[in-house]
Order: sequence, then C-alpha cells, then structure tokens
Amino acid sequence: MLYTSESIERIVDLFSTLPTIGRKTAQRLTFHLLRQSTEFVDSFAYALVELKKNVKYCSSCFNYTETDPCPICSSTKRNKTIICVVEEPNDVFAIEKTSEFHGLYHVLHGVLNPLEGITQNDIKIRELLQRLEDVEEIILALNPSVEGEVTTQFIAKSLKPLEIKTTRIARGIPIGSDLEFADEATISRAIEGRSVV
Amino acid sequence: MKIKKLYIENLRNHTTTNLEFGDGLNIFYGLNGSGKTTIIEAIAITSFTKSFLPVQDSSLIKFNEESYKISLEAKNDYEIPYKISVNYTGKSKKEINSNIGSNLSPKDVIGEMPTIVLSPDFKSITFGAPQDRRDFLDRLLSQSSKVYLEDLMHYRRILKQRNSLLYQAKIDYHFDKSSVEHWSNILITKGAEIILRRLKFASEFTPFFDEVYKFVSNGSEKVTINYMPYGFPENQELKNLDKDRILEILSEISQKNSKDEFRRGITLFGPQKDDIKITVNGGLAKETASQGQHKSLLIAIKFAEFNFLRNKKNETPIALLDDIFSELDKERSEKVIKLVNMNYAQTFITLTDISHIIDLLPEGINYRIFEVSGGKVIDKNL
Ligand SMILES: [Zn+2]
Repeated sequence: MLYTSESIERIVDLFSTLPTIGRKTAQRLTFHLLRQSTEFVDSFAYALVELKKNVKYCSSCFNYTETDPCPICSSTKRNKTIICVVEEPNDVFAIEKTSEFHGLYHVLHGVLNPLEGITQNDIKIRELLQRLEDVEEIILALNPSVEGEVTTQFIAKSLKPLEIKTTRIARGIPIGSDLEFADEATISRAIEGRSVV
Repeated sequence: MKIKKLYIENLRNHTTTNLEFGDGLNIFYGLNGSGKTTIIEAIAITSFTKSFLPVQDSSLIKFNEESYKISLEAKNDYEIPYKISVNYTGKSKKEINSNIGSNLSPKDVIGEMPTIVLSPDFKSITFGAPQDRRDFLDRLLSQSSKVYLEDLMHYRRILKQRNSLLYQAKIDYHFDKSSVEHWSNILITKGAEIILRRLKFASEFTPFFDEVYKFVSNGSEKVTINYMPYGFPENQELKNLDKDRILEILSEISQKNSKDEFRRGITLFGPQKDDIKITVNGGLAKETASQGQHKSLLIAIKFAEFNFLRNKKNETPIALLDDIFSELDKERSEKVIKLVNMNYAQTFITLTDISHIIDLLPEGINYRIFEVSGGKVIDKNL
C-alpha cells in the first residue's frame, strides 16, 4: 500500500479486522497511537496481552471472568433458583445495568445458525442443561432474530421434560434490534413482562 | 404525495441533476440512453430503496465515480413534508436518511412514499413465471404493510437457514430430524402469517382490479385474480381459511415432502412457491389472453395497485410510467392518462417521442415537459 512504514501497514490491517472499524478509522487510530507517549503505548499493549491471559469463561455461567466462578455466580446476594439465558456476554452487561434482575445468567455464546455451521453442540446448551439442580425458573432472553427464536424454541423443548418453569422476555424490544443496543427502560420492561414459552 | 424537488448525483449518466416538479404530469422525453429513465429510477430508489429494474446497485454508480446520491423532497396529502436521501458507495449498505430518522434500514422507509411503476418490464406479471407474480405481490404488500415486510424478511431468512441445513444433511448423508424440525416449525408459523395476509390481500384487491379493468376494456370482459397457496388441496375453500387451518395444511404438506426434501437438500413447500391465477372471460390469461388483453391487464393491475395502496395508506401514491406509451394504442394511452388525471396522481412519464402524448392530453391538465439528453435535463417550462 501507500504507507512509508511496514509497521504502520501491519497495525492498520489489524485494526481494520475489528468489528465496525473500516480502513479509514483504522488509519486514524494508528496515527493517533503514534502521537502518544511510549509509556501509553506500552501500557496499552500490555493491557491487551493481560486481557487475553487473565480473562476466561466462568465454568458455571460462561460469562467472561478473571475468577472462577465469576463474581455473579459466587455472590451470596443473587437468587440461584432463576437463570437468565443470553446470547453473548454483552447481553449480561446490558441487563445488569438495569439492576432489575437478581438471579444468575447463562451465556450461550451464539445461537443456532446452520448457515454459519453453528449447531446445538457449538453453543453452551448442554452446559445449561447440566446446571439445573435447584433451579426453578429459566428466562430465555435471546435476541428477536429468527435464529434467536429457533434457539428459544429448541431450549424450551429440551427443558420441557424437566418441568422447570420456562419464560421468555416480552417482545417489547423492536424486532431486528439487539439486546445490546436496546435502552435500559426497554430491557427492564421486557424482563418484567416475560411470558411462559 | 407530491414530489417537489429531486437531486441526483452520479447516478448512471447523470452528474448532478436538480429538478423541480409540477403536481400533475411530469413528462421526460429523450432518446434511448439519454438518462430519462434514470430520473424515475431515482424516485423508485427513494421509494423502494432499490431500482424497479433488475440491476446491481454498484452498476448504477456513474462510470469512474465512487458513489451515487439521491435526495428528494415531497409533501404528503396533508402537506406534511417528507425528505429522504439515499447514498451508496458501492460497499456494504446504502446510507438512508430521512426526516423520520437517520441511518435507516430499507424496512423503515418502504411504504413511506407509496409508488406504483408501470413499465413494459412488468408484462411478465400476466404471462411470465410464478416468481414474477410473487414479486408483484410481495412488493405491493411490503409497501402497504410493515408487518408483512418484516414477516417476509424473516421468512426468507428462515428458508435460507432451513435450506442450508437440508443441503448439509444431503451431502453428509446424515439426517438429524430434530434439528430440522425446529426450523420446520418456525417456517410453518411464519409461512402461515404470510399466506394469511396474501389471502386477505387477494379478496381486497379483486374489486379494485375488476373496476379498473372494466374501465380500460369498456366493461365488456370479466376478469378474476386468485391467490393460489402452493400445495393446498384443490377443493379447499380458500376464503374461509383461518390461521389454525393454514397451519394444519402446511404441516401436512411438510410431512408429505420430508423424504424428498432430504433427498434433494432443499425446502419443497411454503409460500415461496405460491402463485396468482389471472383469468379473462374464464380463460387463464397466461394461455388465452390476446396481446391487447395483456396490455389492458397490466394497466388494470397497476392502477388497482394504485387504488389499493391509496386505500391502505390514506395517501395518494406517485405514478411512474416508464416508456409505456410507445407500447399502447391511442385508446389505451388515453385511458392511462385519464386514470392518473382522475386520481390526482402526480405522474412521471418517460418517452422517446413527445408527439406520442401531446395530442392525448385533455384540456386543462396540469403538465410540465423536460427534455433529457446525455444525462442533462432541460426544463422546457422556464
Ligand atoms: Zn458465572
């Protein structure tokens, strides 16, 4: 390309692999970093390495954590008889912000998606079915996409023989918009207005 | 709806075109390739977020340019302004902004400015393949109902997912019944919604179609338009179907096809295979209608579409007539002009020869003439 430095080229390439970052933004970020002090860039690079080294899945809920089990799973203040099932760690964050939910979570890390080759064995459904001792209610809070819908139906059907109350969040969230982007009020209302699947 | 202003940048052979329109007929004449159709194509893009012609968006960008831009200002029947702009850089999605919001998706704007297009390309509705008739149905219903548009988008996605599962099962030679079953269930549920809306549409559309056809053909012939959901039993009384019965029938068709679906690796039932049956004097139009009848049918379908949309949206649609007058005899041409005139439709007309239309215009009709050549437009009224 046009850059006078291979290092610049390499970083621009890397930045532009990130979601929502186009080539132009990647360039801007790269030049911004070059203008910063060496200390800043060092600590930035170190933080990236530490991020990947320290952050793992919680062995119970599969959210990201540095301690296992994660702070939510090990908290004595949470209601352990109710589990809210979400697609991604982002969704836990979105629901936690509302302070409306005091149970535990389960992160699936995806939904059923044959086009991308994702089957029930590729997401954390089996792990959910294995942690149901003492659980009285499962709330399915997946995104309102067709894939989210099918995954909701799939899990509801798997739970049926176990006779655990299974609810889904109300469809107050506009179709097509992700949980991650819904505002707090909408998410709160959706959790309150959940219905039996 | 009345379009007041249109701005076009780097669309086909237009570099920058700035236009102001009259509320009646706006007539664009010029040779083939002059860029006259591009003007109504630009209007169609703001209305449907894509051209009415089967083209790739990237091929609409002017040669050697990076993006096209269209912006439009209109007023609805209550004089409330509507503004929209569509920007396309050849990559990813179109950027759509309007006074209802910014960074919109197609489903936010489709139906906001109801529009009908009458073009020789749509002759295929009466004598083409089922796909041509489904496209007509889907485009019209998408403009009239956001719920339909959303259901349709979801249905297409489900179909794609289910097909990929069936295809995978075929090449792996392993059929996991339970994983297909969930996709079948949701396909049937969404499919039933679509069929239900198409059924309702057919019964509402028929009187409009009948009325306009009578007007165009001077009342001598009897036409019908019937919706044919794929695989439904012949003896089934369609009018009285409720959702539960539709779900039941779809499940039966699904079960009948499941072995073949696995063998062929593709979904073999559902509303993506529906058709519409159009008849003239009892005969299937596709097989028995004359050239002239096909022309009258197309006019009738398009103006029935106009009346249907106006009725649903409480808004007068825009009429785009692309290169239609060279195909029509004098009598049918006069009928078309009468139809737009008596409906107070703002109308955009393209033709090669201005003399084709001038003599047909009734006295007192409000019209403006524009000459188009080499992507440039001359307003002949200034
Ligand atoms: Zn945890």
